[in-house]
Amino acid sequence: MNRNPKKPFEYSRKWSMRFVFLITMVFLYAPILVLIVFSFNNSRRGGNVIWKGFTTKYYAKAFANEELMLAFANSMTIAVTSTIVSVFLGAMTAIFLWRFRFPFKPLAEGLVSLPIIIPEICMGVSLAMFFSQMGWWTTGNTPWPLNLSNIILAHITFSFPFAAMVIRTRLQNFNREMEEAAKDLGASEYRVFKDILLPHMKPGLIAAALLTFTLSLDDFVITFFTSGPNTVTFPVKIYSMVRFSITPEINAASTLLIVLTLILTFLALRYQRLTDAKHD
Amino acid sequence: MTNPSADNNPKPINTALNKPIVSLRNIGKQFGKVVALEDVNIDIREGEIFALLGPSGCGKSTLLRIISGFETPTTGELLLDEQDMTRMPPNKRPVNMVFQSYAVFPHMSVADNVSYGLKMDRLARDEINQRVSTVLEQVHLQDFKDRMPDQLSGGQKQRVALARALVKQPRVLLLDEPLSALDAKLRDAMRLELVKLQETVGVTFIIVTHDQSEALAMADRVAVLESGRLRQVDTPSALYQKPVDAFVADFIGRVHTFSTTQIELNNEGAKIQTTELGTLQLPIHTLPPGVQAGAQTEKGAVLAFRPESVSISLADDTSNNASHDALKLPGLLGDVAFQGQHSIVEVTRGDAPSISAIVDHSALASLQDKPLGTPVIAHCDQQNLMLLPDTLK
Amino acid sequence: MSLEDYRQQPRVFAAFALPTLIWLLLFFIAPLAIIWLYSFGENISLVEIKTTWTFDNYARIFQPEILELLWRSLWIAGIATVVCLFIAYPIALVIATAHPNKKPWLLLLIMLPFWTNLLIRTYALLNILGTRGRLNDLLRWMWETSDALLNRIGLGHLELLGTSFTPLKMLGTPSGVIFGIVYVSLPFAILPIYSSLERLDKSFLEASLDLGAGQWKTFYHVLLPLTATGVVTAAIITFIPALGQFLTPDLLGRGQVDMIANVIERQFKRANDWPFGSALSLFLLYITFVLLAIRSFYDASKANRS
Repeated sequence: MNRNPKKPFEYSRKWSMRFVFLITMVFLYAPILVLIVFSFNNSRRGGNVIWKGFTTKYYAKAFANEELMLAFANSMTIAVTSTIVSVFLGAMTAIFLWRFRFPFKPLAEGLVSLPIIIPEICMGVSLAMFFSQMGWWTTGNTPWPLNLSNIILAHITFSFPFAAMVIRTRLQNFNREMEEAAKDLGASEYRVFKDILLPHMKPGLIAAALLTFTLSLDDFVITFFTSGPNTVTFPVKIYSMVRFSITPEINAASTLLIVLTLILTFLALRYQRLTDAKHD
Repeated sequence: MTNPSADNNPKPINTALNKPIVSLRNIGKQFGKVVALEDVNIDIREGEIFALLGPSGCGKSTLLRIISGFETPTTGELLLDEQDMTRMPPNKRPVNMVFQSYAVFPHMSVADNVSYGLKMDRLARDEINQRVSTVLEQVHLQDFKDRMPDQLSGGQKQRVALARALVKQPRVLLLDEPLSALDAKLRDAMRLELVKLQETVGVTFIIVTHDQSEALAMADRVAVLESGRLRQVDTPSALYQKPVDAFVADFIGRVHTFSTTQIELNNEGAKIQTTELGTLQLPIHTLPPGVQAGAQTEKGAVLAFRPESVSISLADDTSNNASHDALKLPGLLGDVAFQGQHSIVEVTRGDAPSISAIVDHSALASLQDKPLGTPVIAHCDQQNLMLLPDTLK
Repeated sequence: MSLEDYRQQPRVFAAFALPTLIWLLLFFIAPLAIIWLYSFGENISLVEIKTTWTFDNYARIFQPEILELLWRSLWIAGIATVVCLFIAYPIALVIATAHPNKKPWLLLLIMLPFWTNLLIRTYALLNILGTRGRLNDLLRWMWETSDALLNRIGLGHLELLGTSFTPLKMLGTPSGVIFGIVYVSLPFAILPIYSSLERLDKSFLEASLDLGAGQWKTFYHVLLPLTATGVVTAAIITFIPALGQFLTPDLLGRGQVDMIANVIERQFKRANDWPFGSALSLFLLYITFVLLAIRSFYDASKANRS
């Protein structure tokens, strides 16, 4: 008999359920692992081939691919800029929705969450039409990084509502008595914001920043519609490479992006552990 | 409930003669169409512990928020040291508050929390340090000054909140339900400690509470509020012994009430007709405010007495020494609940509401081995009968 | 604690609210308004569109081939959603009942692929789903092993498994697209179900067992109804993006299993028929709104009942 007998609803301790979980994990991870493994495959073709020995030459090739590296630089520039603006705009949105009562509030809340809900393709298409109608920096001779501005604007538009959502959730557990306590002790509105509200929001701001950074780096559809021939992002570049021919170089480039995502996740977790530890 | 009639106020100074520090004049507050406070007038004296007591939604918290500056009254004015403070923002008032949730800043250490208010006043570092360590000693937190709030217990957080407010040397300290977040045992200890702390620092305390035993045990004077109106301001013992109306009588302790139909004044006092008890002659020569002689309408006056003033004898006991008592209510012996020093005896009276009596053990002896349903008489003497305006809902 | 009335601090309110509202007006509402105008327009030259308030573009949605496309998109997204829910529920149950120390790690395990780039995940499937891909490698191995096993026990001559292994064709078929959509949207389905399970008071389940219901009866009569909101949310947030999927049908469908988004893309990128593309995009948007309306109706009726 088990020392710690299984209770009827501990599904996580049933072997059948564990098996389902395991199979699902294989389903989720096997394709990615295969992709990573085959980025080291010494073969000219990327797709449906067999293992022909270990090599890192496709990484060298990917790093030497100037277009790919430019696309990567573009992606990072876009992600950093849109993250900064999105977190700022998202924080302002979160604060006014959290703090105030005003007419048509449900309408404003709906409007803010709409970019999260509507199909990506609708947003991509409408922004593409909007920029072409406005003639907004779509010419080929706009200097870098200004030529990225319409992609950045598009990215901010779809990611700041996510930032607002995350920050507002954080604000929801703010005890308004903290604010009053600070005021009671003599703090001005500005000091209350700086000393009390902002420190409380900080984990939310960081979570929002990581989320919007990932969203920006992840986006393909909206970027695909708002990018021009000279403003290719990393995913868009990989897409065109996939369309052209499947090579281990794509696997190598993809692996690099996966590693970057892993690093970001690791940082997020580390930060979270630090803040959690402080509250233990 | 502890017996509050014994006024166990330990304070040597008689605050009754002190000058008022906070004066509320005709304070009214409306939230939209909801009336939260109506024409409240109170003078709070320097150095006293003053409690604002009432059921939830009575307006006591709004009143506290008006004093602290987080709400502005719709009408009336607030004086502090005889100066108008009605519209002064909270960060400019010489009044500090201990919040119900304590609102200890989670990202600051105990010392940072306590010094926050002094930093806002731009005091010199030395003075800040010195005042912080003094106040931390007063609340017995000197060894915790580098702790973060999440490393503190509920009681310790409350001390931080207290220290943080006291360090600013306010003219008045406001405490919003200070004991409600603590568990029962800690609550009793903290009650005593708050009173002692107030004696040490000498600052006027205004405490908001819904717990009458808390108010009676701690405060020098208590204001009872109900539905935004001030019912009575008095010392705990006066509130208990001379409540101004049925609501106060019922809220401060327990009370049995009987409605009256007619009151007539005659030479021997008042002749009171009741629906249930028949006609009674009581030696009351002046009727309390709010009660008029003549036929009573629906909301008239009630005849009231407390369970403590009821005694019980067996119905067939002829040696009854309480035979001259004004009120005799026959009934049947019900449950006896043992309470330690005394017992609560229930007397059932058919369809009529039953009567509880708080009886000490010597008085209980004659009832000890009588079965349930033994005929008994509950009685109460004249001087313990109260005639009060019926303000119960 | 009550909210502040905006009239108490109109300037602070304006300072916080206006940038957001202006941004949304400029970069969200205005673009949608433009394609709304385009959807009632006609191409007068290659890049010029005149809004003539014609309904032709909407009428074209009801052509047989577009209706077929819509129908295909709906059932592919529908099947993918159902498959997702069937996988997601047990996974969510496992996580929700796991030891509290393990929960964050299990959740991380689910979320990690979700944070990986969508294009890369879809591309990864290309390596798996091909006729000579890893999935067929696995199936072939399984076939050969079982065939060898059958030979050994003397049943080889019956040819129970056929004479040779026929690889599964996934790329360019609806099953491949459904596989891809399930793969990319599974985390979406797990999280809402998980959070509704987390909120559930476990004593309901114990009460049901205590009253004599078996495990399956308890699941069907207690657990499922109590987590219905989570399942509905999961279904909606899986179905809406699935319906508008572009990459999966594009890469895994190989142009043979088009969904709405692929046809929209073609109108803008190749066919240069912006008015029809706009009408189709808005049609997709309206379907989304209808789905959301159904959900809020469901929420409202649920709120009324309780």
